[in-house]
Amino acid sequence: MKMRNDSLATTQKSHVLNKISERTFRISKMIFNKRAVSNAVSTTILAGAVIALSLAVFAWSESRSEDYNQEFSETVDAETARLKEKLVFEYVSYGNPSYDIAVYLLNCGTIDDVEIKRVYVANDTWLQTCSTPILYFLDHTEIPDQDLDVGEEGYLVLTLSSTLSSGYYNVQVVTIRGETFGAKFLV
Amino acid sequence: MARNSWFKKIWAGRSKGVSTVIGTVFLILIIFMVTTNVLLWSFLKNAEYNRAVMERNEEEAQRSTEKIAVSDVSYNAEAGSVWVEGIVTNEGPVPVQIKTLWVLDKTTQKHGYNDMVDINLKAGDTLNFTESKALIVAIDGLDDNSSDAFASWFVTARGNLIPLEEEHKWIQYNITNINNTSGGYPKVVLGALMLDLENFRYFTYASYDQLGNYPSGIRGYNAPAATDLAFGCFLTNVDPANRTIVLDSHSLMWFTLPVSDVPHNRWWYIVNVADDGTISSSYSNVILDHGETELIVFASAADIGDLGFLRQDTPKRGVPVSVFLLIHGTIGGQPYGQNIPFVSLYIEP
Repeated sequence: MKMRNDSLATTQKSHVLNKISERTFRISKMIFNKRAVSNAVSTTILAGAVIALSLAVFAWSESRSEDYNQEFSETVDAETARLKEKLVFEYVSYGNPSYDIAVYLLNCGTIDDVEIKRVYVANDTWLQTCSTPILYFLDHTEIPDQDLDVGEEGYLVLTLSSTLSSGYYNVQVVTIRGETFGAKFLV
Repeated sequence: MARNSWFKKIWAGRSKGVSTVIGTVFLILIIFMVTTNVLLWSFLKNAEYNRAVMERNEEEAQRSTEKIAVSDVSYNAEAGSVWVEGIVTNEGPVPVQIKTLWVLDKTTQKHGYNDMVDINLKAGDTLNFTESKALIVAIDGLDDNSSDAFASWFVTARGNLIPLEEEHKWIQYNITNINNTSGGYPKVVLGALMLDLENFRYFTYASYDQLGNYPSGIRGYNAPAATDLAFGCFLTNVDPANRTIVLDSHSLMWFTLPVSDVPHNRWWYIVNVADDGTISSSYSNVILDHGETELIVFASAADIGDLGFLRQDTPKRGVPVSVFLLIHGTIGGQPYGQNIPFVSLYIEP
């Protein structure tokens, strides 16, 4: 029995020693085996580089797509706002009392802040342009923000460089958003 | 597990392809996220734009379905303002808000507006704006009880312009006359003139230049042959644009005679006649203001403005003739000419 116990203890000891020597060998191999260390390091570096590069590319792509989205949004928003604009010519008066043209407008669209950028008066052979004319309410007071909100009526006066001969004339109003509205009047 | 196996692979010195895998995964992630982001955003903005287009189309549809009828319109001028009366009915399927009333004085070309109207009409609603509810529009320089002609229109909140048509007396007359069971001729409107078919007449002469039975004459559609006669008819200025009509000396009444294959004609030029029936040897233009009715006399064989007055006789034998009015002059200051088929006569032998 005792012999058997001694033999078991010896076996265990030798197993432990084997393990220790194996681990020592591995550690020493790890320490002294330059090829394996450089492989791990290079793999880590390569993976890190790939991750970093990927993140950079991702950030750049996101930035570009955000720019694109922003630009697309602005274009669509501008088009949508332009679509909502609607001006109606209530009356176009000429020559009473002076030889000016008074254009009476109503904003019957669904968007506020309709600003007038330019007004054209023309017939087949003649054209006059007026930039950023002054807008007045129908009670003849100047509109403070120089735009027509939804449901607002106002008028603008165009001073002509010469009197108009008789016939039909076109008057066209261009808004800041780029929409164009036109009417004809008879002199 | 996969991560452990990567580490094991690296540990075991078999790390080939790890970076490729990582790079590929990132690439796929980047592509997926970027495209998803852009596509979703595009869809969102497209939906917004499409909604705006739909709303715009709906507004246009509603704008085009607005239908307003304005009847019994009349204007009463006071110093500096005009009172507009009438009845407005919403005949369309959508509610209508009337924002502004515009009035144009067509005589002076001055305009005015009342932007405090604010009439709201549901589908089928009617509103009378008469007497104390009349809409008042200020027009600079308008005289009290001015006879100026006016045009007016409503502006709705949707941007429609609704013209107000003035009720015309001659239309009322026609309707009354058509419904008159005792008979009579309706009056005929051609262009700017209304012709009274019933009161066509001819005049005989008391002396060379004096009509014997002026102004009553002899009413009818038979006239004696080979007799010096003058003819008269009532014309009314019904120009829709309310302009004044001026008839010059070239206006005449024209007979055509179906007597052979060669056309035969007779004509009587317009003349001025005094109250006692005397025909003037010169001619001053006949002026027909809007709505005015006047007995016009055709008597001279020649244009008085060129050759003075010459009597004209009727055809020499029994024959039916067609009668035309050749009107010449100005309307609203602009040149005017109209050839009007009028009555037919039988020349009695």
